[in-house]
Amino acid sequence: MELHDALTDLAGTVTDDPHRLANVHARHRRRRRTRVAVTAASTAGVVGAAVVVGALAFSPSSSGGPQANLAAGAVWVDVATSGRAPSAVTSTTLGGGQSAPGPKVGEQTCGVPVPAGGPPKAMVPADGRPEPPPRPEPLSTPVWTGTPPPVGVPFSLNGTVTGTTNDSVTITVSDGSSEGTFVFPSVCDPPLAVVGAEAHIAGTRTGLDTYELRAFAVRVQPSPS
Amino acid sequence: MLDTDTAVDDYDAPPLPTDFDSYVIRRSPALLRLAFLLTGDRFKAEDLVQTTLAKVLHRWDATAAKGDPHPYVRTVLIHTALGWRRRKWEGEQSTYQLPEHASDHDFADLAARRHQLRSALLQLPPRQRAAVVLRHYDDLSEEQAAAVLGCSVGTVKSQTAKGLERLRTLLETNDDPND
Repeated sequence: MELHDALTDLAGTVTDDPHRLANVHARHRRRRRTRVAVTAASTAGVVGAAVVVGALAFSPSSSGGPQANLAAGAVWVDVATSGRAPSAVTSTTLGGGQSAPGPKVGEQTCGVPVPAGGPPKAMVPADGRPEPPPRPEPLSTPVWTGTPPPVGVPFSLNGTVTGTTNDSVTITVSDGSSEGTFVFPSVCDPPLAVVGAEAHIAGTRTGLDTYELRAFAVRVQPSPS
Repeated sequence: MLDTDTAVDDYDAPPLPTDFDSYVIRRSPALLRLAFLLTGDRFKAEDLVQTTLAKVLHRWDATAAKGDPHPYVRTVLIHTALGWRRRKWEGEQSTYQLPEHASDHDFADLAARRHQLRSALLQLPPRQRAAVVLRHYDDLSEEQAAAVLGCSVGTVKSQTAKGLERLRTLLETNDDPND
């Protein structure tokens, strides 16, 4: 017997299932339900994480608490431009039920010394949109070790938070022509647990040792779950 | 002795309806026979067919819009079968046995040969088995089999040749580990 005939004969011994069509539709429904459930769970996790971070980042204060700006899948949390010392509650919660080591929600206050020229702007995004107008007088007296920006030229730089204390934040900047360590006053008690986070600062160097800091934001990556 | 009307794909049949239910009613028996040769077990074959059809139903409209969906369904079935070799329960021994008909000498001989062929097929590596079945049962060309298996024509040739050689050896020596 030829192989083709033998295979055909062998295959012909299998009996058909009269309920196949119904079973296939039932399997398809199960697959669809599973897929929908998995998608919904994933979406809920991501949205939940974003909502938690966003809700915690926005201050109940209406006049300048820390605020957040969703950008490129991350959350920029403005932590030091409230203009009141100390004022708004901020958070270092990363979302998805996971919290960074350090202060809990509601336990932490942050602010900066009140500028002589009035309250600063509450939030400056770091995604290239126009910056708010600079304040007329310096906000604080930071220290820049390294190559600071030129005097009188506005800067908008990215860096990494390398240290925090109760009254200052240290950022290591390596962005174009300006680099070095930038330490500026920021009253946070207890200190922000954002060491290692990507940071953004914007302002103007108004003198040899004076800076007008308009914005400081750290980027908090939401948890995928 | 051969029942070719029920065993071979209906390649000369009129164009298939693109409705899924009609397709299942019309072509799933052929898929089942192909699955049986790949798995060697009636229940695994039925499971394989249903799994395949449930997969393709998800995107049936797009599949049917391109023409005859059968080649695509067959490809999904082959790849699903090849993927099943990694499933844990594949290690279980099937209890399926052909019915005994001791009173009819010819039928008993045929049943023995079927059993022998089925056992020999199951001893082939999955890809060699798929290549042999596609080439010598489904009558696909080497190019078509290569497209279904997702490999080169040369690979189909070598897999088929090795599979046939192994089959020939097994059938000549009447080697049947299930006996």
